[in-house]
This record gives sequence, structure tokens and C-alpha cells, in this order.
Amino acid sequence: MATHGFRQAFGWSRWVIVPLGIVLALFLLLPIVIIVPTSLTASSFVEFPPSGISGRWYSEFFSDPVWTDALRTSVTIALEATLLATLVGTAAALGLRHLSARPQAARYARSLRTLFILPAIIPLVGYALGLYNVFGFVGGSTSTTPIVVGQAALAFPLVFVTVAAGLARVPPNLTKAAFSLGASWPKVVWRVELPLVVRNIVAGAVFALALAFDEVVIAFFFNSPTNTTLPVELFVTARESVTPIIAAAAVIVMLVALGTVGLAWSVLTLKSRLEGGYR
Amino acid sequence: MSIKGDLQDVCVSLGGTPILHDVSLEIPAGSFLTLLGPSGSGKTTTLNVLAGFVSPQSGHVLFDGEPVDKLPPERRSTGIVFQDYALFPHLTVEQNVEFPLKARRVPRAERLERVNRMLELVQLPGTNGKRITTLSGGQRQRVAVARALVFEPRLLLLDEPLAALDKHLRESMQVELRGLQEQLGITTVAVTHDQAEALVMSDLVAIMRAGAVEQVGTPKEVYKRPRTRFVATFLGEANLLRVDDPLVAALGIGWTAQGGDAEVLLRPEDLRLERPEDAPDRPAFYVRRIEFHGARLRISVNPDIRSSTEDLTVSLEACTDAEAWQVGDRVALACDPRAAHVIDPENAAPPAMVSA
Amino acid sequence: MPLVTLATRAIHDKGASGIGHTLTDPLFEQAVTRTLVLALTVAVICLLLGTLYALALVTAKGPVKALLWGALLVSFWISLLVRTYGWVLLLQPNGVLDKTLRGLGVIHDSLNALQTTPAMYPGMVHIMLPYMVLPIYTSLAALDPSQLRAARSMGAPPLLTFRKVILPQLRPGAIAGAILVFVLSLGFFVTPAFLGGPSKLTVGTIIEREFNSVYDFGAASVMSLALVFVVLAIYLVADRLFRVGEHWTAG
Repeated sequence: MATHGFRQAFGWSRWVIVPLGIVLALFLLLPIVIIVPTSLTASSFVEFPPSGISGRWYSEFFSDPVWTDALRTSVTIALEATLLATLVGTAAALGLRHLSARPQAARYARSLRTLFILPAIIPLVGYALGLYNVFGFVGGSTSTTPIVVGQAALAFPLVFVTVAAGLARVPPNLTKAAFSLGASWPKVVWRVELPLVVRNIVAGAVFALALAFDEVVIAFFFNSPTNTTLPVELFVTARESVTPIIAAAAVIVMLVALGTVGLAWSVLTLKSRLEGGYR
Repeated sequence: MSIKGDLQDVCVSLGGTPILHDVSLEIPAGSFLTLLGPSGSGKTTTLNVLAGFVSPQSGHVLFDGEPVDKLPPERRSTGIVFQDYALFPHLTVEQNVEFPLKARRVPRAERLERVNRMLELVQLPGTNGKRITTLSGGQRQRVAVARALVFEPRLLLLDEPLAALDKHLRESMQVELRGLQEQLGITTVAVTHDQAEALVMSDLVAIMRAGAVEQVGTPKEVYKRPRTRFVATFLGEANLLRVDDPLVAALGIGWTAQGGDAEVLLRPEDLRLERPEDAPDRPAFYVRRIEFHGARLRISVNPDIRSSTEDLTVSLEACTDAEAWQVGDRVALACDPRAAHVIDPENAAPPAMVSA
Repeated sequence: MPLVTLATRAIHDKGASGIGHTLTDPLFEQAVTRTLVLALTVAVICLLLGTLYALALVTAKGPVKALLWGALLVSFWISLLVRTYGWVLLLQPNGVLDKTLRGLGVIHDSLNALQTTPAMYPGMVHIMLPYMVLPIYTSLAALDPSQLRAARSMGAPPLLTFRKVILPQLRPGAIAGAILVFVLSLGFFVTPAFLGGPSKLTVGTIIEREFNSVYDFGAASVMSLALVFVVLAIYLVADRLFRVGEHWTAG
């Protein structure tokens, strides 16, 4: 770890850097610090600090079909989008690895790589609108399909990048060895490359899930009464009214995201501890 | 089961840069051939051509006289031991060694039996369930060898197989690996940049330079009778004298009709030092430098104590007599004229790729 | 593919003159100016704060380090919608900021900070900061500590070490982060929609308004297309020049 070297190098100036860093960290945590207490208020108004503590807004959240339906829609769409993004993203990363291994094709590999990353930086609004046009022509813009496809496309670079990073750490010789030992192409992928990047695939899927679960823009553009996701409901309600139930919904969105990440993280840590770990 | 391998006029270039230039090699059945050369000389590419990872732009690869150019790596049946072993870290020892058998759909019972036999052969019996990460470097090397041999490949390819081991282990593994190869009689091609390893292990050594084979021969041939100046200087230490150098005649070396550009190779161990008063007819030198190498002494001598011309190197057994020499001593140089070898400059027609 | 239909839609609905008309619409021009200023300012602020934060990350130890990492990752993982909503609660009339300032006696009436242009800044910086910190941190982590020791052994004071050894090596990461933040800010929608509101439109929100309230799909398409082109152009040029993609994907 480089910490020691940096501490020495900065000398006294670290007494300025670190406290400023702490201030920034608090700045980063500020909205959360406000939302959580607000959601626990006992009164009917948004108040900070809250007057009294109760879970009233949470029980209201779970008894209102508008919110629970939105939660269910969100979970379904996010899972579907994650599955799609993970499959395609992993396949793209694997394909690119095999393409780069060929000297003649290596220069296309770089362009493809850039192309694969593009969905992450294209302005969402523009992308959503374009998608709307596509599905507008095809018809059926009230189904959840366009949202799933759109969010999957959005999450695809995350999976791709995470899996590609894992594959980059798999020595090319392992693939060569597998081939030389007589394994066919699918066998090399299935028995050697995929097992070595399982953690990256899981991590990529978690990134994708978290992204899809609280994606607003695409879901908003394709919003209809039957496919309102939780973030869209939150967005729409928050634009129109001010009630603590929004804070409660926000906390739930937050907990789902953190819960997914935490769960995946502990599973992966446990797995690597059992296996002795591959670095 | 041993086959002979052939490379015929193989040319390889990557992205316009030529890597191999008309490489032809004959690997006799059951022999151990080592590709030796400086880095960038094309040894590893040659190995990759044999394995099928690199397809040559022209030329052919033949196994037992049959062209295998069209066969992809997974169907060539070559067992490779990689420099970093390339063991699958997510599999156990057994699963690693089993891998090529599984790829060939060998039934489970037979698989197990062959894996166990192989592990015994590499002296790792009973390690089946161990994880690769828990093995030492030497053990990993053995697993890699077992995995490369278990499916009875037609050719065994070793890519700097011992480079990652420390000196002691490397030396004992050289003997062990050679023993295993002889026992199985499998045709083997190894790549190394360690000349001692090449000389110890091989039946044949192919010296490569700038993408071409400079000389193929037994270790003794390439060391004692190098065809070119490059081979002479790359393998061991070489004293090279022009044939018309008066010293050559003075040392009693007769030579045949080569031109004046021919050079005489004298290995340091073929030179002796004598006291000038005992050999007044021998050329006289000064001792300029003495290095102690344990078993041997390396002594630099020059006709002129202040000369800036290159010293000749003499290698002597570090016995009591030899240790009596001091820097500044006057010495007489002697050699066995039969040990001298003349290098014809015609042989050194430089490969096309050597940059001017 | 969606981009293609975007283009055909734009041309189909509007024609050449229509496109020109849409792009010179004063409301759109205002939004463009506002967005550019916003994105640029946010990128610069994030650059400074992000560098500071990354330096603090590598310098701190123990619980402070845990706090810094925790804050970074938590805010990276929590929905930007939720985080933005936190800012709404903070800035809204009678919200936390108002109450605090009133408590301190700085102001008497509500600040009415929400739905103003300045309100977008802290929110945007907050959302974008993690994107900035990670690439810089990656650059810093890749720096060989023995270089720092070498600099020290030659008697370099901390400031010189920073300027001559650390700064040049974190520059690529910093450039990558700044470009990413700038590009993302250009097309951002949620945060400006919440904090800037309907009167302080940015490019992102004006497109949504054309689409959802005015129902002028053609205009929305033209604007989107312009936005997408600008963003792609900036990204591709930057990728060529600084290999932005590689820094970002390493993080």
C-alpha cells in the first residue's frame, strides 16, 4: 500500500489535506443524513429535524398499491434488464478477448471497445428519445420491453468493462494452454475463462442491477400507468407534492441498492475465502 | 509413439515486421531439440508455429511427414509447458492434469488412472486434491509437465520451462526433465536463453539469430565447431584471432586455405599458461587481470601490459599451481592446436533481417 | 440504432429550416448557455475537490480512511435520484438550509433557493464528484511509492514533490475524470429537473419538456441529436488525445 509513502511525502500538509477530505466526505453523506430522519417523522409534513420518530410513512408506503406496484415493477424490470445486460456484456468481453488475441484483428478490437463503452456516456435524454422512436415505430410503447432493453443497453458497458477488466488479468497463456491441451473453443470459454471471471460477472451484474433499479430517465420516457417504476413514481410525486412518503420511498430505493451491493460483496468475499482466492 | 517434426522454409511476419525468415528445422523422432538465442531472435515464435498458435505466411509444418498447417492448436496434439506454467488456478492438481483427457472425452475411470500414473511419474503422488495456489514453484512445474504429457501428445514443447525456478532447483529439474523425456521417448522442442541448460539437456541445439536458424548441431558441435562468429560468441566465451595474426602461427596452429578474413576460435579452457623461461619459443604475455570463479580461474592476458587491444582469456582449473599467477606476471601462452577451430566468414552470410 | 431513428425523425418532422429554427430558438439557446456554464463550472469544481479527495484517500489511515472510502462508495451506489431528493429537502423553502441560516440569524425570510440556477451547482458537484475521484485515485495508486521515497531522499520538500512527482502522474486520471464529468453534465436530466425546475431549463430538461409537455417530438429529436453529437464528438476526440476510456475503465 502506498499510504505510508504518501504520508511521508506530504509532511505537514497532510494536516490540511485530510481534514478537507473529511469535510468533503460529510458533504457527500449530507443528503442521506437528511433523508433518513425525514422519512422517520411522525408528523404529516416534511420536517427536519423530524418531530417524533415513527415508521408510519413506511407502513403507508407498503399499504399503498401505487407504491407497492411501482416497487414490484421496478424489481421485475431491473432483474430482466440485468440478465440481458450481463449476458450480452459478458459475451462481448469474451469475444473481444478472442479477437484481440489475433494480431490481424487487434486494431478492430480497440474501436469495438470504444463502441462498447459509448452507451455509458451518451446523454440519457437523447438516448431515451431515440429509443422511444424505435419502439414508437414498432408499436407497443406501453409494455415494459422498451424499458428493459433501454436499461440493459445502459448497463451493458458496466458489465462489459468489469468482465473485460477481469479477463485482462487472466494470462493469455491460460487460454493458449487450454487450446494446446485439446479443448475446443466453447470448452475453453466455459471451463477456463468463465470460471476465472465469475466474480467480475457477479460484480458487473450487481452494477447493472443497481443502475437499472434506480434508472429514471428511460423509465420516465416510457412511463405508462401499468409500468411505472419506483424511481419514476418517486420523481413524479416529488415534482408535484411534498410528503414524507417520498423520503420513505427514497430510503427504500437506497436500501435496495446498498443491500444488493452488500450482499454480493459478502458472497464474493466468502467465496474467495473458501477457495483460497485467485489473484 | 515418437514422431519426427519438420519446419520447412517457415516465414512469419506480424503487422509487416518479419519475425521468422526461412526457418527450416528437422526434429528427429524421440530427440530433444533446444532453440537457443538472444531475446527477439524468434525462438518463441518458432515454438508457437509448431503449436499452431502462429500460422506462417509461407512454409510448412510437418508432423511425421504430414503437413499440419491447417490444424488449429487444439487438434495438433502438442503438450506445452509454459514459462509461467499456465496452470488453471481455479482447478485442483487432478483437475488440471485431467483437463486434456476430459477435452478428449476419455472415460472417468481411465482418466483417473492416467492422472495418477502421471503424477507418480513427476513425483507428486497423492497431491490430487491440492489447489494450485498452495503448491511451490517446483511442484507447479511438475504439475505443468504432467498435464502436458498425460494425453500422450505427439510433440512436447517447453517454453523456458525452468526460467522461473531458482538455480539449485533448476539444475536438478534439468536432469529430471531430461530423464523423463528419455523414458517416454517423446520428441521435444524447448526454448531457452540459458546456454548451459541447452547444452546439458539437448540432443540437438538450434542457435537462432534475428529470425533465422544460424546453426543446428549436437551441443558439442555447436560449442566446439561453431559455423559462425555469432554462434561462437553467443555460446560460452570465445577468443577469436584473424588467421593471419602472427600469434596463430606462433601458437602452432596450422590452417587451410581460407581467406584472410577467416578467424580462429580458441576457447579459454583450451589455452594454458606456462612460465616464459620454460617455454622460450612461445609468445609472451602479461597477466592483466585474475578473476576467481570458484572451480576455475579466469585470467586475462595481453602481449603488452598497457595495451588497449582486446585481452585473450584463459580459463584454468583453480588448482594450487594456477593460483600462483599474479597480475603483472610475464607468461607464455600455449594451446593444443587440435582444439583450434577456423570459422569461415562465408558462413556468416547475414540473415536478411539483421539491420544494417 | 435509436440514434438513427432520432436523426430520421428530426429530419422528417422538421426539415432543414425547421432544424435551424429549433436550434436558434431563444429558449433553447438560453438552455445551451446555461448548460455549458453549468457543466464547465461543475467539471472545474469537481477537478479541484476530486484531486483533494483522492489525495486525502491515499494519505489518511485508520477510521478516517474508512470514513472517506465509505462516503465515496455509498454515494456512488445510492441512486442519484435519491441523492438529488436529499438536496431538495435541504434547499426547499422551510428546509434544512433555511432553518439553519435562520437559526444563525443570517436570514429572516426563506432563501427560496430551490428552482434557481445556483441550486443546481451543489447537487451536480455532489453527483459528479465520485466520477472524478476514482480515476484520480487509480492514477495515484499506480504511483510507485519508491518514487516518493526517492524524491525525499534527494531532499525535495513536500510541495516540490507534489508539483514535480505526484501532479504530473495524476494528470491523465484527472483529465479523464474532468472530461467525463463535463460530458455527463451536458446531458444530465434528473438533477437539473429537480433543483433547477421548469423555469431554469438545461438542454436535458428542455428536451424532456418538448417531449412530455409540448409534444413536439421533432424539436426534441433535433435537440437530442445536437446534444448527442456534441457529447460523442467531445468524447471521441478526448479518447484519441488522452485515452480517456482506458483511465475510466481502469477505475
